[in-house]
This record gives sequence, structure tokens and C-alpha cells, in this order.
Amino acid sequence: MASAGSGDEKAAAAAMITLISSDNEKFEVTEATATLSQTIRHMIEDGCTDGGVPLPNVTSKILARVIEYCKKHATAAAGEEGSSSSFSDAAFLEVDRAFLEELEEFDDAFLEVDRATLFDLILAANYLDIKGLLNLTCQKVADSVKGKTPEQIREMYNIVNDLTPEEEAEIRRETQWAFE
Amino acid sequence: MSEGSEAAGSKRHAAAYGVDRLGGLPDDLLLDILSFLPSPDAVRTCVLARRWRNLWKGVPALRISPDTAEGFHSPSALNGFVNHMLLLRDRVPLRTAELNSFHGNDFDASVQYLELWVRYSLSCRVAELCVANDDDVERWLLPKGLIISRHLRSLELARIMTEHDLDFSSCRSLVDLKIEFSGIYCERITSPSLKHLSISECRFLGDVRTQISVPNLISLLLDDCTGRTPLLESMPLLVDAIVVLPNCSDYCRNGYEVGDCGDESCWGCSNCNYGENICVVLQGLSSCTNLQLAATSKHFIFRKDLMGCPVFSNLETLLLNEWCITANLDALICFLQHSPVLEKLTLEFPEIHENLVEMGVSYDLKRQPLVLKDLTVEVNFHEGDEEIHKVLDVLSSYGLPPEKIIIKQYPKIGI
Repeated sequence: MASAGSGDEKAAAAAMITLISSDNEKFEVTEATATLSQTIRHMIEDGCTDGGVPLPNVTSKILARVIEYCKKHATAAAGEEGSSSSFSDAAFLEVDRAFLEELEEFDDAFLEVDRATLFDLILAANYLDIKGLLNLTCQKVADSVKGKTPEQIREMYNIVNDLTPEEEAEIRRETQWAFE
Repeated sequence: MSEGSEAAGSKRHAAAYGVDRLGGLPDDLLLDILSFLPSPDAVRTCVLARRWRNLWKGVPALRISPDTAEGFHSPSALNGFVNHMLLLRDRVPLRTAELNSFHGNDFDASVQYLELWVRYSLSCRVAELCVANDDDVERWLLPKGLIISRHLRSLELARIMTEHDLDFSSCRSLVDLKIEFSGIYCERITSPSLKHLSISECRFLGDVRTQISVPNLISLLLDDCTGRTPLLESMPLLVDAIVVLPNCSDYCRNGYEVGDCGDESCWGCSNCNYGENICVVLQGLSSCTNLQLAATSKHFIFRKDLMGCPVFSNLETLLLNEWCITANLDALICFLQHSPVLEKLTLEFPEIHENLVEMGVSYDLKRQPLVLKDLTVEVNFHEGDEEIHKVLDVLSSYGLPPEKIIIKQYPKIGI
């Protein structure tokens, strides 16, 4: 009985899923990696992953990056019900600390991308429902905006100001408490 | 190739027209991004363009970090900002609320609205709440019954004072609790749902030990707290625990091994308040897999607990420091006897050893022989320390193979 159970578990761990990008490139990944995406997790649960999972919103270039992220974080997710926690220092044992530092370094390096890629990653993380990746990429954009004036933000992100000077003055008067 | 020319094409497009990738995101993603911004920055996006005018009102986060609070020139400026924001934002649920008070001289003005902001956040079903008073001296008195929410998952409290029991029984989703730089003057801290607890640099103010009742805890950090070490109740699911007590009151000024020195002027011994308890901390920690216990030689709490030592049936890694070194190493041997599956023991030694007053203490030693052949021992000590060789000799006499001893030596510090 016990050995049969562990055999099943092994089979599940080794199960591979094929992901197909918008430009028809196929990626073989383990189920543990794929299920970091809630979207794919639900597809697996519904049994509709035979013949591969088409992801018409994600290019092969972005999907390769997303998979790279998921592979690294799948091992971290495995321990989530264990000792890890949302407090950075609650997972305080040395093994955990070293692992968390490594993960942080990975994330920092992972975010060294041009802005177009960053936005593509945000859209992919949202579509695939990968919370960690979405938070990571949104945080990166937020950090770039932090402390900037509206003019600087507009310039940085090519935001066209479609407010008339009167409208802008009105909004500034309404929200004067935030500009003091 | 085609990808390259596509990229070049989009670059030309961007140069000619300026692609607004940020503005190209749907509202819910913009809100996700805004939720990571300090609140003043989030509100100020209202003048970027027409679409941005009211976006900030739906942001599922309040973020007043210490840095953000410092950006205001007075408590009334910060209070005015937060009050305006809370009144004018849409009452959408909050994922996160980080509420730091103003850091300045006027304590009363700085914390004037803290309670109101917490109540607002809880009414918006906040999942992660951080409440921090930023005064160097004064502690913010946590109002009784303030923190009640079935949506709250994580709570951080800094520089607060509690004069009533911290009972989180009605916070059924609470899994993370962190309290730091605070005064804890209560009989009990209770949470049936809590998984991770961290209490650091707090002062336990009561004469009676605070009882911590968190039966579903997985990790515990009790770091550098002063006052009476709290009494830990049973935590059968505990995996990781660190208890570091270099400054607690369970300290014998006369250096008696397990306290009870009989000297009325020794506050640590004369007000020990063990009551009926055989164990204050060790019993509660007995289920854990990874454990670190640190104190100075004169802190008797762990040794006193060892007189009624529980069995650490899951313990795999253990770190101890100088408190475990007694005359015949009885305290350490007792601990090892009660740790049947221990794989790794780490011993951290300071440069100077203090001698204890030996009183023929009877630890809970077992009769069966202790065999250490499967144990790995790492010792971290200072060069020239003679004590360490005595320790290693004793461990070797219990069968510890020399190849399983890892020695890390610190250079000798000149005095």
C-alpha cells in the first residue's frame, strides 16, 4: 500500500506538460514547474492538457523567461507549507536564509531586462496567473516611478497628457493635500 | 531574424509615436503596480492623464512606510494626507496596510489617528497589516479589542504597548505575527491559527510569566527580549525555533547553576515565578526539528528546564552556546540523551567562560548509555580556549568519532 502510494507520487512528480507559445514553439516542463501558473493548474485539474497547452498570448521569447522563473521558484513553492513565511526573517534558519538569498539574487538578475520585456512579462504573469512573478514585475515598475514627478513619469513611459490645462489645475486643486 | 526586425520595427514605432506601454495595461494591472507605490506617489498619479484621474482611489494598499512618513514635515501634514486619502478613496478591500506614525517630538499628535486608520483598514478587510509607532521613547498603547478581523492574515506591530491579553481567537485567518520593540504586559498571547511568530527586542513587563498559547505554530523566533521569559505552551507542529535570551531576567547574579541562590537581592532568582511549571520553554519546543537556544552562562532558564527535560523526538539540528557548559557537562549530556534522532550539534563559545556555582544539580539524566557515533558536531570557539578541549574529550568518551567534529576557530581577541 505504502509503496504503491509513493510510486504514484513519483509518477506525478515526473509528469511532463507541453506548453505551446503563440509562435508555435513547444516547451516541455515538469508539472511542478507548470503549476506555478494557476491558469495551467486549473487546466491540468480539468484534464485538458493532452496534446499540449496552447498559450496564444505568450511569445516563445517571453515563455522561455517565464519558465526560467517557474523552474527556480517551483522548489521554493514546494516548501511553502513548511517553514517559509511572508516575514523575511521568519524563515530564519541558516539553510532557509541562504536559499532565500539565492532566490533574491535570481530575482534581481531576472529583472535585468528592457522595459518592453518587463511589460510583456507582466502581461504573461497576469494571463498565466503566476502571483509571485506578477508581484515581482509590478514592484519593478513601481520602483521606477517612485519619487518621480508627474512630468518625469509621463516622459519615462510616453504617457500623453490628454488633460486640458484647466482640467489639470482642477485635479491639482482637488488633490492639493497630496502635493504639499 | 524575423524577431530582430520586429523588435527594430517596434523601436522605430516607439521613437516616432512613443508607445505608452504603461497606459496599455488594463486597469487591474495598473492597480497592482500602484499598490506597490508609497501612498503619496500613488495618489499623485492622478494628474498623469485623464485615465489616471481616479485610478488611485481603487488601489488595494495603504503604504506609509517609515521613509514615506519622513517625507512629511510635521505630524499634522502626515495625518492630513492619510485622512484625506482614506475619506476620498473608494472603499475597496485592502490587501496591505502599512501604517507608520510620524517620527518626531510630538508623540500625541503623531499617533492621534493611528487607531482610526487601523479600524478603517480592518473594515476594508485588510489581509496584511503593519502598525508601527515611530517614537524612540513612547510606546503606543494598543487599544483593547482593536485587532478583530477574520480577513487578517499577517500582523506586524512595532513600538506598541499592550496592557491586556493579546487574544487573536477571532482572527481566524491570522498566520503571521511579528511584534518588535514593544512592551508586553499581559498574561496571555493566544492564537489558534498562527503558524509563524516572531517576538524580538520586546520587554515582558509582568512579574507573572506571559503564557504563549499558539498550538498550530510552525516557526518561532524569540529574540533578545528582556523581562521574564514567557511560558511556551504545547506546539506539536513546530518545526523551527530560535530562542535567544542574552538579556532576560532569568539570570542569577551569583552564578547559581539553576537559580534559587537564596539571595534576596538577586531579583532573577527571588522572583523566578516558576509556579507549578516544570518547564518554561523547553516543553513547548519539544516537537521541533531545528532548534537554537542561546543565553549567557548566568542565565539559568534553560538549565532549570533541563531538570524536567522533555524528549525532543524530532530534533535534527541543534545550536547551543555557553549556557550549556556545566562542570561535568551534565546539562549538555542531558540534552543529548533526550534528542534521539539528533544529526547535528553546533556549539558556539565566547572567548571568556564564566564559572558557575555548582550545587549538585540533578538534571533529568537517563540511565541508558548515550552513543554519539551518528552525530556531527561543529564547534565555533576562540583560539587558545582550553574549555573546548574538555568538552570534546567528554563527547569523544561517548563515542563521537573524531572525523565527525568540525572545528571553526576565531582569532583570539586581545583584551
